[in-house]
Amino acid sequence: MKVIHRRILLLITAAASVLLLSGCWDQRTLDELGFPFLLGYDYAREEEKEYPDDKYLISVGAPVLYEEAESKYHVERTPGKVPAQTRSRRDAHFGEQYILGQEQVAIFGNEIAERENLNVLMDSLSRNDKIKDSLYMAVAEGRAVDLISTRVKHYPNTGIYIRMLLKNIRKSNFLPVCTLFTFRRDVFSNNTAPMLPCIVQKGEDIVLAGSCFVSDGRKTENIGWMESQTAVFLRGIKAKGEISYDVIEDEKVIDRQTFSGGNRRKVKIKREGDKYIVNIQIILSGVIVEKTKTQPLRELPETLKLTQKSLEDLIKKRSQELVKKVQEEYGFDALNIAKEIKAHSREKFEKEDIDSIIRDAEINVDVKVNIENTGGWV
Amino acid sequence: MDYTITSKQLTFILVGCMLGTGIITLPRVTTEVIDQDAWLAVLFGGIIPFVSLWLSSRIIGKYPGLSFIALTEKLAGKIFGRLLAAVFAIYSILAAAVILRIFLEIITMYLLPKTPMLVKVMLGLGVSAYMASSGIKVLGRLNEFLFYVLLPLIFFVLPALFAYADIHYLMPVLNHSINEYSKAAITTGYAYSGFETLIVFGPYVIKKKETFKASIIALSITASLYLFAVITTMVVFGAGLTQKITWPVLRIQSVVDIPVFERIEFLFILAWIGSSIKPVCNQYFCACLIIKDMFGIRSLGAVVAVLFPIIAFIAWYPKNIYSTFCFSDFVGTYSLILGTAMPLFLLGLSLIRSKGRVKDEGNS
Repeated sequence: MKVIHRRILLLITAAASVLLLSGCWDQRTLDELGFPFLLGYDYAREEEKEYPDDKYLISVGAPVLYEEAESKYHVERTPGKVPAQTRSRRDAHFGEQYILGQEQVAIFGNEIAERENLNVLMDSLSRNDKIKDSLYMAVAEGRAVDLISTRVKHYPNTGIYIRMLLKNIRKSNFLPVCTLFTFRRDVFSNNTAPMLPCIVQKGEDIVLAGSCFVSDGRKTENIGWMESQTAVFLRGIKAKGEISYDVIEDEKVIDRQTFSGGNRRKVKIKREGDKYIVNIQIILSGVIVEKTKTQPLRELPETLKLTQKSLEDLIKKRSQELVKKVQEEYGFDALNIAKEIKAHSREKFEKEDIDSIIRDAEINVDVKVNIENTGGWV
Repeated sequence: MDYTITSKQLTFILVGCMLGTGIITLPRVTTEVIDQDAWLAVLFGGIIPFVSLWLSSRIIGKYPGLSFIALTEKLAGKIFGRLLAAVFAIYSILAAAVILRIFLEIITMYLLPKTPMLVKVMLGLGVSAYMASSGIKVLGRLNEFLFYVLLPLIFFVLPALFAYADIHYLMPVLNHSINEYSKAAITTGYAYSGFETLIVFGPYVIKKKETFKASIIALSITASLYLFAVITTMVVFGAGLTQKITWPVLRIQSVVDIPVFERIEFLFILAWIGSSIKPVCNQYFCACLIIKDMFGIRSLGAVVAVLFPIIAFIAWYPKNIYSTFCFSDFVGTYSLILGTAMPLFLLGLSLIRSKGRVKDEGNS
């Protein structure tokens, strides 16, 4: 082939690329796009249904980007027989095309989370490769649509507020963060129960109310803030936060301190016959940021031992209570130890096998606290 | 046109032939067979290509200076030799078409969902046709350049690795039967498709002695990158979730939010486009070269033009992604059989001929 022929071929290819790709089938005009931040799943009430067989109400919270708009935040409510049906229905009364890849948080109403299989409910999210796996997930204490419609003080966009709330809870509160990826990994790879944060509307604010487990796709009862922290420790979700506790010597409270730091865990599995022995070690490392008693520096090493022991005893007691609850009440793997059990054994386990092992296993908890310093004040 | 390449360029051409769209789906197809032992399948899967490369190098070394078509004609006779070459040319046409189609399926899923498949086929093949018509030397340089474009892509998966990697997902090791490992090795062997082109590209290497070494380096580079992709995906997703995701290596990049970039998988795809079009160019060129030599056509461009609509039609034909995957499996099997049977057959013929010659010389 002559050079001139190759140049002509190159020119035709380049011209075709420019012509075909820039202005045709996949072109989008920025002004016509909507950017959904929040996605809410609820059952549709009678007055919200457009057709008798509508079952779900999918609400979308999106910023309004027009400068002259009165409100900077818009909530779109659309009923449908199945969640994906609401996408086309929404286009019938809302002109802008939603960019699904911009979705940041999926919130499930309490009722729907308790009764429906969340894996099935989220099927349209999982199938869409444009939806990111780092999408945050949470359960609302009431209806998701009410929460999404809440106008949080000083925030033009509730979506940004909820996203920040969920993103940062692990950095300050020892509370769990659940994304689409971690949820699916827990279900499909670990055969363990995902742990979702619960959020609730309180006046003009949206606040964290604890968490819940999802077993067989359905949400269990909510657990409070303290139990959620303990579950985070036991599950080995790496987090940071603060814990206030009493320093006890000879059954007497001698000081009140606040620990600030991070956690990790180690799990050892042993098998004796058919019984599994699971040893979980929770390790907390951090600093004391507050104490009611001041002491000379030379006395600190001795006091620190007592401090560490008091915190270790407290976390151990809480952990043992939760382990008992998991084994006796829940009966599924809420402690995320299935992956260690599977790695330890050459048998193939399904979720039912894991649940049975968890119920019958001997689960021991040990806590180790390492206090690095007590701040810059003696 | 100068038909010579350096052994380094041969390495990159072979890497370019093997490393295409297969890397994106490999973790899924291997975990479907042997769960957490998928990474072992990558190593076992390299055995067939290794044998094929060794056989091909032996043949090329025995008859230096002969092109693939000249080699088949010399060993199997004019008619049967051309038939063998035709089998190879058909394989290259099918391989170019199926690789292009899988590449376009990913582009459809992530970038151009509404653009008709035929338009995408034309555009992708247009670029490949231009490269194929540029000759082996330019192809060698292109493969080398685009390989270095691919390397930084490795860094795109590091955030997910740092955030979520867990070694437990690779345990317990060696937990399957020999049958399952064999099945997985064959499945992985499909991903190495492209190794068989050594017998076509090998004769053009300037230093013939370095052919085998260059091909083994190519195989090692490909195996290492496959191993990296499979282990990375496994330790982040675990075997169960990996099996549920169509393109696990792309999906792994969306598990973490990266400040500023946010969705790095789209950046990855942009860089990956360049490297994944390489096998299409290489196989297209391979088919053109064989047909050109077979019919004694002087212009490579003419053959490129004739093959264009044929490859375009084959790439466009599968009705959906599942037919494409079935077609891809067929081409993969074709590649493994062709890659081992062809050099083995030619080597056998060569041994028979040399024994015959020794006998004749003894009798005379």
